[in-house]
Amino acid sequence: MVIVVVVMGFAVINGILALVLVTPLVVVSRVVVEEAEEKEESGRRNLGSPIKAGRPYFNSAGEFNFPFTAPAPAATMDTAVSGEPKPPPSALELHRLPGNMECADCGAKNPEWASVNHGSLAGRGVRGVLICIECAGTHRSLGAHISKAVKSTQLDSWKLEELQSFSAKGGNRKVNALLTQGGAPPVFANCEGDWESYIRAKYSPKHVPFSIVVITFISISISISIISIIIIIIIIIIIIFAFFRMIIPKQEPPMSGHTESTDFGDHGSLAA
Amino acid sequence: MGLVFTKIWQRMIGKQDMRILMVGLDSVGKTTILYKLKFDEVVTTIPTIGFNVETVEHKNVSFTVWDVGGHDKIVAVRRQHYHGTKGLIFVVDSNDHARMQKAREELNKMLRADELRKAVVLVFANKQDMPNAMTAADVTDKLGLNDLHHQWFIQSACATTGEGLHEGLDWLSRTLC
Repeated sequence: MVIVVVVMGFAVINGILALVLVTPLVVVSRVVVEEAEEKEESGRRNLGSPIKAGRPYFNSAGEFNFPFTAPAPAATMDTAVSGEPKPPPSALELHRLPGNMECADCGAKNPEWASVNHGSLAGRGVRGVLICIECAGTHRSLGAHISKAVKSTQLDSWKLEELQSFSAKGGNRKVNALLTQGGAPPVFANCEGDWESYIRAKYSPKHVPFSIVVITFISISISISIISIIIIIIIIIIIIFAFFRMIIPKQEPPMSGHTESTDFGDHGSLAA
Repeated sequence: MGLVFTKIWQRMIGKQDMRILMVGLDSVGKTTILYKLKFDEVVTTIPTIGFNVETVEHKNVSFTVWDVGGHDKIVAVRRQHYHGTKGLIFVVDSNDHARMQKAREELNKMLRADELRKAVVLVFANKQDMPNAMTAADVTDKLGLNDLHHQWFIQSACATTGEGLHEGLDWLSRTLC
């Protein structure tokens, strides 16, 4: 009984220790991932800036100046600026990504706004959706720390690296597969408040990852407790075995001793 | 002489009209500020394509506030709103550290326009309720307001609660009347 209580107590202490140790680890790893993303982003910005210093990406006629798919070498840039006819690559290309013909949140046709999101998508290698103007309004209200930028594919100028990053990591189907597991948009289409809370819950960083973190903590601590119980039981079994091993030779000597003593006795009797 | 009397009379009982242009980058809260001032309500806004205009009564001044969308192609046609503008409200998102430099460039570019040579500038450091919002002093620094040749004033604000908005208009009415 005492042994059982000791074992349980030890397991609980182990579990708490595991929680204390694992919490900062997980938090630190998340922060590191986010920082790495930020660095990658700023690195790309810095890389892009010297080539494109101060140049508008749409010229006065509203045409996009630079090729979209390949980074533009200086020569092609000059020819593009001088007005040679080029296939006009623009943010409209983003509509071709899978799922981008419908708003990522409400399913409205032909969304013309893009949201680059860092909230619940941070650290998962995916970001950026196309949304309708109504949902764009809600995305803006999430704050710049979650929705980094809400831009129009028609009314805003896009930098080349922004377009490349969006087309590589964004897309409604890709993002929705992560955030809603491909589920259909909800049916409360006309109620403004519901939409807002839905979008807030979908993209805010605390919602999904927090529950995942809690579940991870609990499962890790429980598994560590179970492992520690098993280890303690094994140790106890080994100790018991060792104890018996110690005892058995002690029990044997009396038997042999008995015979010996009889021998001695015999000897003794003989001697006597 | 008659004009002087008219002005004095207007100052005493009449309301003065003031044309104000509200500008800033996109998604900084210009439309939210406008409707908070007008109706004292927080409305869910959608990106402004074109502009919104409302008259806002504040003390004895009637401000006609033009809220012009901040998206790049709309900014290009913003110049037609400059004429007759006495006061400029420049709104910045205090939480958006990454675009402070862009805001600074935008403000400087705008103030170089000849029509705005005599305009006074009120800066709203908006979204103070957000985490990691910069203080008004930090925003002053980042926007380089101390280098401006215009008369300026910075006011920390929160459009959703209405905090700081009327203080800003107070300064405008004091300065322009």
